[in-house]
Order: sequence, then C-alpha cells, then structure tokens
Amino acid sequence: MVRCILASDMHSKSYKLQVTSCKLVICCLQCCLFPILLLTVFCLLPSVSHAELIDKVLAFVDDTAITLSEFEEVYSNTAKIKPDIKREEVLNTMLNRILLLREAKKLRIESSTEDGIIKEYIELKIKTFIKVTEYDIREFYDKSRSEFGQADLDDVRDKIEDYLVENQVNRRLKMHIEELRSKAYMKVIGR
Amino acid sequence: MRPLQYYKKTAQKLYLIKLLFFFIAVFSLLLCIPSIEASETPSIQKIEIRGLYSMDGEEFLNLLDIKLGGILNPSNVSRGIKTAFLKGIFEDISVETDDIDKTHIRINVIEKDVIKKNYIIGNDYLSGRELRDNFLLKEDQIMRYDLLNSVVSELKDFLYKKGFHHADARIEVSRTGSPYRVNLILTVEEGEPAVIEKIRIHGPEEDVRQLMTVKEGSINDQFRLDKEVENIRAYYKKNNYLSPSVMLYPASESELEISVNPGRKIDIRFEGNIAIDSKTLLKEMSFFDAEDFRDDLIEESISRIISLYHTKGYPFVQVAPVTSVNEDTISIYFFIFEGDEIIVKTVRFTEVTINRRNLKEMMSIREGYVYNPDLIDSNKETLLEFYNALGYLNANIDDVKVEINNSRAEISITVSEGEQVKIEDIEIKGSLLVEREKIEKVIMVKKGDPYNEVDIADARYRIIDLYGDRGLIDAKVDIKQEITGRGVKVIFEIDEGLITLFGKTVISGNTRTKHEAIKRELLYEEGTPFNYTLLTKTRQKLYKLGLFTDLDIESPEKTGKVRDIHIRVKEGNAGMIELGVGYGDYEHYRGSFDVSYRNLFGMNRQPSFRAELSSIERRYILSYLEPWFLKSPVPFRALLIREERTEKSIETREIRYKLKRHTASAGIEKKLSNEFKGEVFYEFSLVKTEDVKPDVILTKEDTGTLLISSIKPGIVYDTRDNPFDPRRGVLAGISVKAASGFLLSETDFIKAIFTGSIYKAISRRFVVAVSLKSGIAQGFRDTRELPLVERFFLGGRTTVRGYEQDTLGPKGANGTPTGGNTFILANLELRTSLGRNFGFVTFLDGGNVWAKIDEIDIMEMKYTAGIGIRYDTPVGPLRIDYGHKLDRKTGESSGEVHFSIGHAF
Repeated sequence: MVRCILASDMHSKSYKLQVTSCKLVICCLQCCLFPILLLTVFCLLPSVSHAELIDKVLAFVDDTAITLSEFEEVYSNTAKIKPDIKREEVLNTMLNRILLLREAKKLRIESSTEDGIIKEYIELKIKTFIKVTEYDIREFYDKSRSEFGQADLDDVRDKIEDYLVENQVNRRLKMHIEELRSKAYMKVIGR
Repeated sequence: MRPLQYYKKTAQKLYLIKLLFFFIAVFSLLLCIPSIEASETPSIQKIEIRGLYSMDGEEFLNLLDIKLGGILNPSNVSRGIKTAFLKGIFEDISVETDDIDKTHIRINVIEKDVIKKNYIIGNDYLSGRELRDNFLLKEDQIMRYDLLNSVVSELKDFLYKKGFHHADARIEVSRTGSPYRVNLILTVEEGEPAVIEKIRIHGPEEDVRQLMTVKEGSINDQFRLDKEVENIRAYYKKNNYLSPSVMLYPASESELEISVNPGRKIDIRFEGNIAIDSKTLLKEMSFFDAEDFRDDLIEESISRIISLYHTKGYPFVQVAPVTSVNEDTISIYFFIFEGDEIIVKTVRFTEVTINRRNLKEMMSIREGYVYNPDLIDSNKETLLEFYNALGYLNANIDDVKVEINNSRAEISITVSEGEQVKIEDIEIKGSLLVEREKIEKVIMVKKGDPYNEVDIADARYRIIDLYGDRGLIDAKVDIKQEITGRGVKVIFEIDEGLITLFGKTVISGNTRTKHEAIKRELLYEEGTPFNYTLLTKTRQKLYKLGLFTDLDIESPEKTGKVRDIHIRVKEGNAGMIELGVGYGDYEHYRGSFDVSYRNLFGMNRQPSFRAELSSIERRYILSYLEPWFLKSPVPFRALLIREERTEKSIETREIRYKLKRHTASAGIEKKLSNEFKGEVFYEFSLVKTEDVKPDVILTKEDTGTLLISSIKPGIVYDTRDNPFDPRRGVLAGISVKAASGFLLSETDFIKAIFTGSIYKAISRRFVVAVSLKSGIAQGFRDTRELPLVERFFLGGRTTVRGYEQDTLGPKGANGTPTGGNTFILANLELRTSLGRNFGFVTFLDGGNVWAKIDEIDIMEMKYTAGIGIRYDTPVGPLRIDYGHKLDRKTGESSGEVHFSIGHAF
C-alpha cells in the first residue's frame, strides 16, 4: 500500500503523503496495536466481574444436603439408563435414599455399598413383616387364571409368591417413606 | 517540494515505528504468558461471606475447605457444603466466583430461623408452663415453618382433651432484631371448659365413687380421666382381681358413663410351706401378669415355686394345686411338700489329672452350701469351658452322680479329659505397617500355651484394635490352624488395608458453648491417623467438661483417605445452686450455699461463689477457674476469701482467739499424668487476730493485723478408685508454703506438709486404710515463732479422734493449746460394710504437736482407739466416731464423740 502511494505524483501527493503517514500510523495500529489491545483485554479479562456459580444446596433432609453438582451427576448417570426420567423423580429418589440410609444407620446396618445398606434395611424393616399365605396365592391365581394359561398352580406358585411379596414391599415401603418424610425437615431449595 | 531524501527518511521512520509496535506487541505477549500460565492454578485472593450469623467465619471456611491462598477445586466444594451443612443451622449455602480465575470467592449463606422465645398469651385456665410443655416448637430449636399447621392442630387436640372443647390457638411469627432469630407468639383462647355435671357408674358404684377424684362439677379433663381409669384398674388388681375392666363413655360434654367390671377374684393360698413364706411365693404366680387363669399358667406357677425351693436347697419339693372356680371367685390352693433341706457334703472328680481344687472353684455347686439340682447342667458347661480353655478340646463330662444320705449330698463327677492340645507355633503373616514385635505383644498367647479358641479369638480382636489405633481401621485378621503332631500351629493372616486419616470435625448443637471451647479438647487433629480409641477418650473428655447432657460422636462414610467426624452435643444447664446443712461436733450446726456457672462466655470458664456459715465460722469464697490458661491446657484458678472464725474449747466454749482473714490467691494446676497433679499458687492474706488468750501468745504477730504473702507449690500422687469412699489406691503428696519479706510479707517462714495414705480392700466387706502425715515449719530472718494462724494444731475428728479439736501439743500457762512448728499424725482404720449403706469402723489414731523440730519425741505421741458408724451418701459417708484416749492424763476426759461427713482421711 505504501509503495503504491510513493509511485504517484510527488507534488500533488505531498499532502497526501502527510495524510498517508497518518493512515500509516493507523494502519500500523491496526496491524500491531490491535493485537496488543486484544492481548490487554485478554489479560484484563479475569478482573471483569461476572458471577459464576460453583455449587449450592439444591435440597436438604434435616442436616444432610444434596448439592446441585451432586444432583446433576446422579441425574446424568440415571438419564443414560433411563432417558425419559424427570429431574424431580431423580431428586425424590435421592431424598428417599437419605431417609432410608439414616434409619439404617440407627440400626447399625453395615454394607460395603449404600445400595447394600438400603437393601438390608428393607429386608429387615419391611420384608420381615410380610407374609403371603397360601390363600393369597390361590386367590391371585384364580383371579388371574387367564394369564397363566394351562399352567398349574404348583408351576407358578413361586412366581406368584415373589410377585405378591414385591407388591407388598413396594406398598409398605412407600408408606414407610411417607412416614419418614413427615418426621423429617425436608426442603427443595431449587436453583 | 520535498526532496526524495525526506520521503526516504519518512519511510525509514515509518519502518521504525512498525518495528517498535512489533516489539511492543511481542513484549506484551511475553508479559501475558505468565498470567496465562498462572490462570491454570490461581490461588484464592479474596473470600466474601454473606449472611453468616451463628458461627465463626473461620470455622465455616474450614468446614468448606476454602481458604485464602488456597486453590479452589470445584469438585471439593460440594463435599465442603455437605460437611458444613451437618452443623444443622443452614438452609442454603452457595459458592460463587466473581472472576474466571476463581480467585475471588463469594459464599452466600441462608441460615434456618431459630426460635428465640415463645410467648404464650390469652390463657386463663391452663398455665403457661403446661401449654409450653405441650407445644412442639421449643425455644432454641430450629423454626419449622412446615410444621406450623400441625403444631396448632395438635395443641387444639390437647386443649380439647383438657376439657376446652371450643378452644382456639394461633401462632404468629415475629422477627427479633437479630438475624435468623424469631419469636413465636402463641395466642390461646380456651373458652369455657366443659364441666361434668353427671357421672353414671355401672358396676360397684360406691367403691368407684370413693376411688375417683374427678367429681361432678370437675372439668371434663380426658388426661385426668384416663389416670382415673388406670387407678381404678390398679385398685382391683391389687385386691387380687384377675382382669378388671374399666370403660369410659363420654355420653355428652357434660355427662360421663363409667362401666366397671372387676371380674373374677383369685384367692391363692399355700399349705405346708415353712422354708419360704406365702408372700414370697405369691410373687411367683403367673396369673396376675397374664390377667388370666389357665392350666398352662398353673403349670408355670408350679415350676417357679419348685425352682425357688431348689435355690433354697430343697430338691425333693413337690407342689400339688387344688382349684375351685365359680362365677365370682377362683380359689387355688397349693399344697407343698418341702422335703429335707440338702447340703452338699462333697464334690468328687474321678479320672481327672488337673487340680481338683481349681475344678471345684469353677463350680457354683459348693461343698457346705445348699444343693440346687438345677445348677448341674450349667456347672457341666462351665467345667467343659474350663477344660477347653486349658487345651482339652475333646474333654467330656461322662457322668454326674448325686447320692443323698441324711440330708447330705455327695456329688461325683466323671470326666474324660482326652489329650491336651498345645500351641506349637505362632505365625504372623502380612504385617508390613505395624512392627511384628508390637503384634506379638498384644497376642498374649505363646508357644507351649494350651490351645484355646477363646484366647485366640481375643488375640485377633487385640490385633484389630492395634491396627485401629494406627489409622488402619479396615485391617482384617483371619486365623488359620494347622495340626502338627500333638499341637496346633496358629497363623494370623493380616490384611492391613489402607490408612484412614481424620478429616474435618463438625460440631453441632452448641448454641451457648463456643466452637473453640470444644475443639481445643479434641485429642486428634485433621490429617492424623484415624483412631477409635482417641474418639472414645475425646468423648469422655468432653463429658467431663460438665457442659453437655448428651454427646454423640459419629464418623460418616470414608471419603478417599479421610473420615470426617460429626460431634453432636446437647447442652445442659450450666448454672447451679446448691444448699447444704450439716452438723459437726465442733461447730455444731453449719450450712453452705453455692452458686456456680460452668460456661462463662461459652468458654467453659467457671465463676462461683460459696458461703459457709456455722456458729464459729463465716467464710465467703469467690472463685474463678480458667480451664485453658494462655491457650494451654493448664487450669488457672483465682480465689478471693473472706473468713471470720472463732476458735473455742468444745467443752467450756471458752474463746481461744478470734480471726478475720482476707485472702487473695491465684495459681495454676497441672495434671502431670493420670496419677500426678502439681500446682503453684501465690497467696496474699491479711490476717487480724484478736481476743487471743494471753497464754497462747508466743510472738507479737499472734495478735493484731498481719500481712502474709506466700508461694505455695505442691504435688499430689493419687491412685484412689473413689475419692469419697476409696477401696484401693494411694494418696500421697507434699505441699510447701513459703512466706518472705521479699514478697512483701510481714513474717518469714517456710512450712511443709507430707501426706501418705494407702487404701486396700481385703475382701468385699473390709477395707484397711492407713495414713501417715507430718508437718514441719521454720521461721527465718526476724521470725522466730510462726504466727498463730500458721502454727500446726492436732486433735479432733480428722486427726486424733478422742481429743478435742486442736488441743494436742504445747500449752500456755493456763493450759490453752498454743500450736507448734511440727507434728506427726498416724491413723489406722478397718472399714467394714454392713450393707444397706451402713458401715462400721474401728480405728487407732496417734499423733502430737511439738513446738520445734528438735523437740520431737515419739514417746510423747498420744494414742486413741475407737469405733464409728458410717452411712453412705453420694458425697461421702455420714459418720459418728467415738475415740477413747489410751494414755489419758488426770483431768482429761476419757474420750470424745465426733460427728461429721466424709472419712477421717
């Protein structure tokens, strides 16, 4: 660009040159100062105020907190297995686990994993009190006979028993959790 | 027109400018590089906490694991928040940064509201205390907004049951001036109570009306009526009615129907019982607990009667029941044939190689005692366990024969012992982190010992404990045995696991006690090996502070290498008022008043005031204890004492002298070990002695005002099991008092007291206690005689019993004791427990006081012997002693009676 100007009429261009020298400076500024400014801005960036949340309490059960990051981790892991799961469902499960683990601790139940502790707690506190009688099995078999086709009661007895036990476990566990929830101070703070 | 040179120069200038800018750009870039590098690990430059009120910022940041100069690790923040949340006071904690480098941290806190005060208004009938007790939201607790409706509902239910059927209650929450603190205003409008106008009773009306305290005209109080029902039931049960039924039917607000059916009465009688009375046998009946009369309950009752007779030595007892049942009454007669009382004459063992005496000691069936056939099976088990402990793993009790002749039982036990198995070798595998010698030391079984599984299992637990004390709490120990010839090789296979360290400690529940006052008592530090023993000791130490009624230490799950600790405390009342009255032979009636507070400024500082008053003494003590002097675990104590005392003769009540003393004292105490305690005190006393009997005066300081300034070091060795009523242990000590003009004292002396007491239980009922005590004192510079108040006196209830208080030793011209510069005192007691808190003591005391050290003459010791009665109380036994003078002089009484509390020594 400079070479091009120098090649033109010197007289008529003397003023132009002065103007051009200013342009040159601007051009230099464009060439060199711009990166400097960019760098300066880059260097100063950290001091520009912009609040970023590192972590916070999302919900609590008495003195046990669930943090946002903890929830997000559990949610993303759960969503990989069950993509349509809602965030509320995951949070509710986390709160229920806290309640059950806390009760299990009172009974000094030990296991290498939290799942193991909860399983043992349910076994002890819920399953122990469930009794499925021969009458229950037969009643269920009679009611749902069409679903069993030609199978005799003896063939499906164990399956029916397992099903009825599981049903009752779920029902009682739900009631038990409701009871625990009513006694605890729980709150979902939200984001 | 400009020359070409000019343009060239201009072009050169431009080139230079370009070059300059280029260098500036490069330079700037270089300058930026370090800051880019630094942005990878920026340290925290600024921390701002918003909204924190109930705890110290430093403690809060420590729990969050965020500190100035540290690096913010976002993945740790979640853990920090969860840890801090365990304090139980937070509603929300959020951590933010203001900059990309995360060097400026802002922590926003919202605490849960706490109820500061509950105000109850509008109540006319029920007391504020009763309402407060039945109101679920308590003062100093977290405000539960979620419970507001249910709390009001429950209170209304309570009011309804109390008879206020139209009562209303409202709660208003008002903020106090302090953050997160609210007051609750509970408005109770009881309305008019429901009054019982008519009570209809179905059943034995006359009896029931007499039993009832609720009458027509009383408030329809359901709680009170429930109690009435219980009382009526209890009355009929007490009168042998098997299953009384009492039903309450509220017919309307003002009418009550009570239906009472006492049921059948049971009449139980015993015939033929001589060894056990009927009242005792009645306690064995099963009908009353079961509230029924059935055949199986008759059988159970018979078994219990027979068992009771067996314990009394009647193995042939027989019981026959005869019953008759009608509509109202059940009669049961137990005809008892007791048989003879059988005493065990001999216990013999056949075919045994080990010491028969040892075998007999293991048994509860003993020669000379009554024979109980029910003990045979348990004795067989005990003997087998004993054999197993000695390595006889195949031992068997083949037969137990009991021959009874002339009311004497001869028991013969046949044992087949089998081979004794011994430990041939012990091997320890897998010990890398704990020294092998240490493990061998805790195993406590060695080669050649009899093989006993119980001992080996105990050894395993001791190894686990040893590892646990070093942070290796996940260590596992398996035991394997290898049979080698006649012995067993025991192998302890150790899986040491990974070390666990103490993490953060969260302390919650301390509303009045400061965090620092608890933290300084912890026996572990963050980052040191985890140790359950230290946690147990910490728990004991915290309890000893006397600040907490409940204390729970738990360690949540391990995170990485560390395990956090959560200490939950429940604070008790730190203030205390005590009143005491007593009687002593010397001062007669005496009383004391104590007021103390254990938690000044939340730092366990303890101010107290005590007043002691009696006919001869008035003493006021103001004291202050700082448990951590200059931030070290050395207790500092300061005392201000004002004392007025009149020394009198017990017999004549004649005044020997009067004393007024003002003392200021301060010093430190230090527990040097579990047994040793040292202390150094400075004492400044202004003593005014007046009305001194002339013959008591030995120096000019004995009367008038005297300033004594002294240093008092001392050391005590104490291994007693119970300081109020020791059964074993030693108490020994030396205490010195040095007063000098250098300390601005008007008198110069040094005196020392040596004490030594030994307590030993010689059986369950007998304790021997021996004590030797002596003191020496010497004046120096201008002091020839010690002032009266510093001289030693002996005689009285804690020294030489049988002599009046302070009457031994040198005497003045008129026979008044003057005290002396040296003394020796020896006491010997045999303490016998008679049961039911009573005790009996025989004692021998000896001692005397001499004017100077070089005048000590053992032959001049005065001896007394005596007896005493004790009655145990929580602060030591009440006692009455009579001491008899063994070398009584003409004109002296034969002895003295002493009343006091606490042992003589």
